[in-house]
Amino acid sequence: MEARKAFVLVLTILTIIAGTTMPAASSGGERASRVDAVEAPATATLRSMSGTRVAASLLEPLVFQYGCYGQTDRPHLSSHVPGTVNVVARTVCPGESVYVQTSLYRDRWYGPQFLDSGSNSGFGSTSTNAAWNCSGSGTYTYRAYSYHEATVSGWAYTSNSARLTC
Amino acid sequence: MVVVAAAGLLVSMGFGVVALRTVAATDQSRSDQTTLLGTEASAQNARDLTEIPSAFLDFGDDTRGRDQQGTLIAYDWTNREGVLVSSSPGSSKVEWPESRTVKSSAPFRIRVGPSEPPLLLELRFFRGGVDANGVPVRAPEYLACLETPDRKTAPCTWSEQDGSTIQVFARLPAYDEPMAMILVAQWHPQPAQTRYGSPPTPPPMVSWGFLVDPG
Repeated sequence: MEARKAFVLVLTILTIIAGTTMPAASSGGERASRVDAVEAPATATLRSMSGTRVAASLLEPLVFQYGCYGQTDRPHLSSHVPGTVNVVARTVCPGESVYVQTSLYRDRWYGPQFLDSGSNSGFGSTSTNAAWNCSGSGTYTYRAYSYHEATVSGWAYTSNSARLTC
Repeated sequence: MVVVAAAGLLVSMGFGVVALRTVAATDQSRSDQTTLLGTEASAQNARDLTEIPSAFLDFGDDTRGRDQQGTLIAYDWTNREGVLVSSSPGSSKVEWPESRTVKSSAPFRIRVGPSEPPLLLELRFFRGGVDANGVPVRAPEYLACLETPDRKTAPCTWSEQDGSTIQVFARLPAYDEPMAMILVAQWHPQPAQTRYGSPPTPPPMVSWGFLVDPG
């Protein structure tokens, strides 16, 4: 019995520590979240899924499971497929069904140009990629936006970018 | 609410995940085209375009009634039915509004609506204007817009008005030749539209073009 109490106490402390080390985008109110979204984090803790509007959802209390996060890696030139820019995104949430979707863009004079997207689902963790044949296209800023979701813990958006010469 | 959403997810998981790769695009494949994805694509076209927010540029009370409506330069837009409509400049001439004479460094406002709060708003100024094909002749100067009701906070700010209109406030740079300006807005996909089993679609994006000259 004492051992169980000790276990619960340790678990509580770990949860509090996790809560205090969350990224700013996940702990702030509406404004902080929107400003951060201009440079959305590459990694984010999942949010509550309640609400139908992004803006409304950001105002609500966050419900998250320790160890659950979404992440978008930096777009990079593929070493496996030369002449290809590639980005990988993942959703991790142990014990839950998870989903990830990522979209790859290239910045043009008129705005972001959509290049490719990918999605995947799984249990516990899943990853996906988006890729585009960029050979000979020159130097551009590539940016990826990802959406992450877990059945219970919630959802999150992440993004990452890199300027690449292909 | 969370329980309902989670239950919905569990139900929708049965439909599996379908990856749409057909929208992978080069400049050539997207040239002058409106790309539609979905089951009722062509029939939805007209209504899709009306759902895209409009943008109006004005320079203060003394010029009220002379707003310049921004032309749609590029967009990726998903309508209520989940149909994606996309367009980007290609080989044919890019349409711009009739140029307005505005003094250098003038403050201005752009109203965008109807619109949900965007997650990215950015201004791009192209000195020298556009060429015969409507393409800017020089590289842009970027100005990121921050959400705040206090216009003194940043060179470009925006705030929501009446729950459906976004007001962007900024100032033209000093200029002595025609100048093109683009406002780029990007929104995240709605959580309700992003579910297990849903094909991935790009986040909504719209860019509007404006033209000014110093006279």
